Amino acid sequence: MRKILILLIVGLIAFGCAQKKIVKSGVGVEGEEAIKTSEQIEGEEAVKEIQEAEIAGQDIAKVETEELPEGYKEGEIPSFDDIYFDFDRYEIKESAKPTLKKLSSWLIDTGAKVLIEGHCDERGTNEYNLALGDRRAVAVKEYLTASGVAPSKIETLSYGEERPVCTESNEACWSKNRRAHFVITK
Amino acid sequence: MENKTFNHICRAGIFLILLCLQLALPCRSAEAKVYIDITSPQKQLPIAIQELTGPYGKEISEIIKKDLDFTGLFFLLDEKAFIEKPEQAFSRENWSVLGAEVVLKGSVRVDKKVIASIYLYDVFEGRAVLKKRYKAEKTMIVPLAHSIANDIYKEITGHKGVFRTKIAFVVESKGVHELYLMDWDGGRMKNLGIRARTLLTPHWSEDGTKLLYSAERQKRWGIYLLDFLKKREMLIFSSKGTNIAGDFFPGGNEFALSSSKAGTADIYVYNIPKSRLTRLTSERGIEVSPAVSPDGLTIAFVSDRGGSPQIYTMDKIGYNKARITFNGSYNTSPTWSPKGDVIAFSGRYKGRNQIFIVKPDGSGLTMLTEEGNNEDPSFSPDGRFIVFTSDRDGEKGIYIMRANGEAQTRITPRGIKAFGPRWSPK
Repeated sequence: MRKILILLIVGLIAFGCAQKKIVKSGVGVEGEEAIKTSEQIEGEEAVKEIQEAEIAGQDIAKVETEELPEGYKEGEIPSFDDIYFDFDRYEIKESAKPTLKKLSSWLIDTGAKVLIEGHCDERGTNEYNLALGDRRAVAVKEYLTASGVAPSKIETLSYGEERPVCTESNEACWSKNRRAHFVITK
Repeated sequence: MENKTFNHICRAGIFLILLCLQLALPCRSAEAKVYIDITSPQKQLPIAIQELTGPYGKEISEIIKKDLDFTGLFFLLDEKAFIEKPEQAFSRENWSVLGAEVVLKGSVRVDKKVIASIYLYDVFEGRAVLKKRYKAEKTMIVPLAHSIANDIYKEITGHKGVFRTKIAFVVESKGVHELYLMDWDGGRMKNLGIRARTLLTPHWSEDGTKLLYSAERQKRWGIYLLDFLKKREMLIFSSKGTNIAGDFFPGGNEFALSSSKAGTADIYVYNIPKSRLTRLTSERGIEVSPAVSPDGLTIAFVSDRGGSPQIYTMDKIGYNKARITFNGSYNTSPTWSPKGDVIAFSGRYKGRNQIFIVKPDGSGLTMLTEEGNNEDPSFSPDGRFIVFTSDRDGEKGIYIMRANGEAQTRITPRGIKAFGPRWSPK
């Protein structure tokens, strides 16, 4: 009984294997003649056309983006200089504090709103720089709210390394790009 | 007692049968000759690729050669030394004297569609081990050639080739970012028509039919899903702050992301059908770039909790956090190999970003690149190659290399600023 069962199992295994065998035994289909008589070739397969040619640019809804000019007319608002950061840091430097003090009192006095853009130099990697630019903008926001500005008046946006003001690859340039930029919105 | 043994045999038998029926490999390896053991190749296999006769024959043959050559597993014999004419029948003596072990011959004809017939000969055995005919529209000659290369690769190594896979990436042109797709070798570059002021590295769904990516539009960071089958882009997640898409989890219902919606960037998991966001980290610093392991159990990510950006791992619910990089002060952009045995990342070495690999336990750190700045690594689905961004030739472009750092090759043309590549899963 046991022997029969084992034989049966072995048989099934062999059968299973045989089914998977790749058919490629030489049936004399060699050389020039054989190439011409393509009927003898096994395993014909059309090249599937997945994801090809169908993804034309026009087919996908394009989202056009345009920056709308917003906020105050020129002359009505004081300008606030960019503030700068050390490489890979987001702490507010002493040198930035006068600008931030001026900005916070103006925001409190006028009830205006500000967008803080966080920027980085090109040396970091893309995603981390976006997070770093975000963290810089948030650090400025935290400083301003600690000075009495309502959090609802402050928006933040990170551009990472995507919007440099200076494009040379040297420290003089990089230090200008590691910045927070202020846009008065309304 | 008798019953127990019976049960054991039965179970073992059924298991073996299932193994045989479901996995081609165990049966196949018993049957088919493996010419190159790709897990530890001893030498390159000498192969003769004879130019296919007929229209498009040269174009197709060149692609096959380029595909096989890049793997580093083959030694392509010089065509000038061939004794046999492409039109002549295969004769093993013509090839054995050249040292060829495998020979490809074939022909192409055009009959509305392009029809290519190929024969792959084992010189030692003196017979064809692969005979196959391929049909395709004239516009599909390139994928047809890649399919032939895939079949040759499979026959020789027993493993699936990646020559029909794609790379998704981002191109910057006139201050606008656009999503692109190209073949693995940089061929057939195509603009997908997705634009934004800023686009980040796209992430593939497991089945290769969708891309997930972050875009900043109208000053808002959204995570979008592009469905190739529906030809539609959908906004999946948006909030204030910076939202950056990470990898999908297996199954495709969930993906990892980083978001600064709660103040500073933290890691979250988003469930698409349930529209549910789950927070995994809550630090005052930066937590970004979550990379999901192939089994979906572990997330590698970047955190500056230790004072500088370093790679950490944690489980899917945010527990068991462990730091895995300790060299250097700037390690970012982790990505998993398809087997989950290695994590590639971009690390700062001597002031520049280089591609490194490290085991998930932090051992086996190896630097793979040296020139320029290199970032955004992504593995091919077989784990044998890595695509990455480099600025070594000036502007950023897309490069590929073998997973051991060999054969670093630019695949996007000069004059195009390209970055953020991701290799398709199929």
